[in-house]
This record gives sequence, C-alpha cells and structure tokens, in this order.
Amino acid sequence: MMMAALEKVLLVVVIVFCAVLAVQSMGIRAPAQTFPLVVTGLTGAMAAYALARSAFQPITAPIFGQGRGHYLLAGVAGLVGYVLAMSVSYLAATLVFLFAGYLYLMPERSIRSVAVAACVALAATAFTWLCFSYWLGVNLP
Amino acid sequence: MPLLESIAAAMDPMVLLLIALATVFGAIIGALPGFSSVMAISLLLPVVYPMEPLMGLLVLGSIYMGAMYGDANAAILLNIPGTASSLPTTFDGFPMTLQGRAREALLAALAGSVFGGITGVLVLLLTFGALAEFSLRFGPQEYFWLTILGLTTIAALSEGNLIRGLVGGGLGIAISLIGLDPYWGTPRFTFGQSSLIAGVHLIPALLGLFCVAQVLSSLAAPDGDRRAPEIGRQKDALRAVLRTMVRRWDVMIRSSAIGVLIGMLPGAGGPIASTISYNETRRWDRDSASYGKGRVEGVFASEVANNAMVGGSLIPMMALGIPGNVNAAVILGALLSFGMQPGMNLISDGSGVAMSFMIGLLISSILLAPLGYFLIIRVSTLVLKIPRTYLAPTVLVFASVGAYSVTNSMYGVAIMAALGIGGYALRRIGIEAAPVGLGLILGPIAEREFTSSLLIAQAQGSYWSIAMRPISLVLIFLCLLSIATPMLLMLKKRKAAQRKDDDKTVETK
Repeated sequence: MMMAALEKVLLVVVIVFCAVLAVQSMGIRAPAQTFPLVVTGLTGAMAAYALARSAFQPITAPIFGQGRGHYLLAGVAGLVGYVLAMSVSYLAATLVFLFAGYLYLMPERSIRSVAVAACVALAATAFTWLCFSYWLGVNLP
Repeated sequence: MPLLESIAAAMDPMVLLLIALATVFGAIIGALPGFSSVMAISLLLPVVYPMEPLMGLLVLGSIYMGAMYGDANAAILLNIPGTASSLPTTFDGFPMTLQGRAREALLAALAGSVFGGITGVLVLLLTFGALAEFSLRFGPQEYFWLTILGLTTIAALSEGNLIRGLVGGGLGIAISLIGLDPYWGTPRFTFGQSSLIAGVHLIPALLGLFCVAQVLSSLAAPDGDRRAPEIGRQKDALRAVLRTMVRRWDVMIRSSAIGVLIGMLPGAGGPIASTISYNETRRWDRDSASYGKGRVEGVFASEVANNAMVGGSLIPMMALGIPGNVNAAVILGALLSFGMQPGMNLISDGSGVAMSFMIGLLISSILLAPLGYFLIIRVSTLVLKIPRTYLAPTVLVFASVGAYSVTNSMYGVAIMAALGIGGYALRRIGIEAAPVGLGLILGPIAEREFTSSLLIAQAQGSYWSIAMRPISLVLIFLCLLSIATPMLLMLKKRKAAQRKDDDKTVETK
C-alpha cells in the first residue's frame, strides 16, 4: 500500500519537474530551445503514462523488505548527517560516521569487535585523508 | 605517436603498477555481491580525474577487466553472483565447490577470464582503427542518430519495464541540461542557484547513482552476512584446468566470439553474453545433461564470454562514441571529462592515448593470470568472509570524499547525496540507475549533434535531411531494432510462461 503511494508520489514529482523544465525551455531562444523542450515534454508524457498504468498495476512489494527498513533509514539519515558534518570538519565527521556505522551494522558487539571497529574507522579515515588531502592536494574542510 | 612509443607508454613502470593495482581493486570489488563493476569504476573516477588521460583511462579499464573476473569468486564460493554477468558461473561453479573442487572452479574462472580478456582486447586492437576511419563519413546527423542508438541501450537495461527505463533516460538527459546552454551560453534550469550554472558535475552524479544508491540497496537487502567457505587443497587443479582448456578449445573460441559480438551490441552486455555462451556450450555438448552438476566447461563458457565482452563493449565506445554497456558508458564519461573525443580524433590527435590504452588493457588481461593465481583468489576469499554490510559506511565515505575532491566544494557532495538517495527511491519504483546514468552521459552529446543537425536542416530548407541520409537511415533502423528486440524477447518469454501454465492446467485436469 505504502509502496504504491510512494510510486505515485515519485512519478508525480518527475512529471512536475519535467513540466517546470518544459515551461522554462520555452523561454530559451531558438535553436537551443528545441532539444530541452522535446526531451522534457517526452519524459513528462512517459512519466504520466507510467502513472496512469500504475493505477491499474500498482507495485505490491513492501516498502521495507524483511525487517531491514531501519538499516536503510539509518543509512539515509547517517549520510545526510555526515554530509552536513563534513562541511565543518572532515576528519571528525568521517571518524564518527565510520565508527558509528560499523557499530550499528555489527550483528554482535563485544569489547574486541568494538576495538576492531575503532581501529578500522581510524585507519580508513587516515587513508582517505592521506590519499585525497596529502597526495591529490584536495583542500578538505 | 608511432606504435613503439605507444607500447613504451603503456609499459612505463608507474603505469604497470597502476594497472596491477586497479585490476586487483576491480577484482575485489567485483567479488563482493551487490557491489557492481560500474560501482568500482565510478568509485575511482575522482581519483583518476587529476591523472594524465592515459593513466586515468587505464586505471578504469583495468578495474573493468578485474571486476568482470572477480565476480566469479562469489558465484563459485557463495552461489551469489558478484554481478549479474556471473550468474551462469553459479550453475556449475557452486556445485564444484560443494564437491570439494572449489580451487579447480576458481582457477577455471581465472583461466577463462584471462583467455576471454586477451581475445576481446585483440579484436578491439584489430577493429578500432577501421571503425574509427569509417566514422569520418559521419556528419552531425549521423552522430545524433548514433547517440540515439546508444540511448536505446536503455531498452535492454530496463528489464521488461521499457516505459520506466525511458523515463529514467529522459530524466538523466534533463538533469544533464542544467547549466549553461551550449549554443547561446545563457543559464537555464538553474532556479537562481549560482552553483548550478556550471551544471551537474558528471562524476558526483555517477557516484550518487552507482555507489550511494547501490550501498542503500545492499543495506536494504537480506542475505548480507553469508561467509565464504574454506577452500580445501586440491592436487593438480591447475593442470586439470589447463588440460580441459586445451581439450575444449571449441568452448574457448565460441565463448570468446559470443562475448565480443554481444559486447559490441548497445545494451546487450555481460549478463546476456555469459548466458548465451553457457547455453550454447551446453547445447553443443554431447553430455548436456551433466551441466549444472559441476562441469568445468560451464565455468569456462560463462567467464570467457564475460571478459571477452570487455574488449567488445569498448569497440563502439572508442570508435563511434556509443557505449556497449554502462561500464563503457562511465569510461566514455571519463574520456569526455579528460577533454577527449571518441572516434578518429583518438587516433589523429597524435597523443597515442588510444593505442596505449588498448595495449595497457591487453597487459591488464595478461597480468590477471599471475595476480589472480597468487593474490586475487586469496584476497577475494578473505574479503568474502567479511560481512558485506560493514563495507557500506566505508564506501559512502570514499564516494563523499571523491565527490568533494572533483568539485573542491560541498556542492559535489550534495549532488552525490541527492542523486544517490533519489536514485535509490527511483530504483524502488522500477526506474534503474543505469538509464539515468546513460542519459546523463549521452545527453550533452545528443543535444550538441541535434542542434547542429537542426541548423544544417534549416540552412538546407528541409528537416528531412536529419533522417534521410543513407547512414542515418541504417542507424534509425538499428535504433528501432534495438528497442524492438528486448520487447519481442519479453513477449516470447511471456508466451512461453503462459504455455507452461496452460500445460499445467491441462495436466491437473
């Protein structure tokens, strides 16, 4: 039920996005106007067709399969949080994100496995910093 | 650049080291179930971005080659194909593991991949020049239809959901249009955001679509914690494999030919190549009933075709600019990011990059033999013992820092996260990442050629000139064929399933 609703919401988002771009395309001077107009028009039309078909054949799969929904939601939330924190301090954000991620995904926690997770998080953070900041000269936040 | 200089460039010790590292990296990522070859290539895009074009392309090509081999390890040891291409490898590979012949199966996959890889690259070396020369006859109209032919790959990638595949492709093209319009140079679709004037950077977008969305899928998928079994000692496994290879030369040649030919077709790719090759090998064998019960020829058939497809898929990509599959499309994206154009330009620009790249790929497929024997089989077995869910945070960090590095701002990371989360949501409703990615890569080329064709047509006073040229007509026919073939195959499959159901109903009555 929720999946069928999500399907429709996403298709409507695609249609609205294409409609907005198509309307904006009309303001572009020819000949650069034609291609965006054709692409966005056709894509919107096909999304509308898919939406119409979904009314008769909705997706029946559950929105989160086999009790793993919390992993997915934590993954999305963790990524968004990491992206926000990364803009403040790359090293701290990465270390915390990796360590928290390993701990969360661990099936069984013990002192040894937590220590291993901390070491791996530290090593991975150091490696990415070394690779990108030191070797490739990227100015990480 | 003469041939000898191209060979010397590809044999540079630094280049050789990078080829070896990239091949191992590709093989290991390919071995992880759920982590595809295209993800391995995308993940290293930011690292190769600042490199010299030859080094960058060779790293990506070697990852591609390694990943197409590495996927066999999970198929043989866990009965889970590392990528869809190695599905037929599970049919005989896993039964061999159950029979205590895991080592023989792993070596057969390695030998088959090396043979297939070398054959594919040799065909690429022999045909690229001629095909690129032929492309000189193409004008903007032909290039436009050629790009459309590349986009018809979407039909094959959509797996029975053509409309949603086309929506995904269109969405990818629409996203690629954000930024300055190439004709007038005025901003379009930027919604007043100055950061969008430069457009949606291809590399963060691909990282989002192919890495982040894939990681989220793997988090949501069950079966993440299966571990690889121990590989027992098996005396004379290598000798047995090599003996079978020589004895069944027909399997090797046929599978290579299938791999190269299927690889050249837009959208057909590895899964189709390995499946057709496996089916043909079984069909031509006198003892076809023994397949699926541990026949080493079954592993050969799948893996030879799988790796021969690498060279095959790069032929149209390098010569004409139409990728044979998504991996080739991402490499095409990298080629364009380096400011290079496919086709005759690659030969005539004097840099010799094309020839060195092909020679480097040949080296990569040869190096696969010792690397696989001494290193990859052992490392893959170890990696397959790590629960793959642990890899998710690490891959997300690599993708994020990679996206940051190519734009030098959080803008790239935001693009990656948005397309990753959006791409995963779209995937759940049947719009896969591959058509969106293909649209993103081919969209700007299609627009450029379409606008040029339109201007020529206006100057000539007839819009028919866009289509009514001999090569254009052939390309339009191929486009229609490319869209119709998967549809016809799907109809045939449905009819066969219906017939089976009808037979069952009659039997129960």
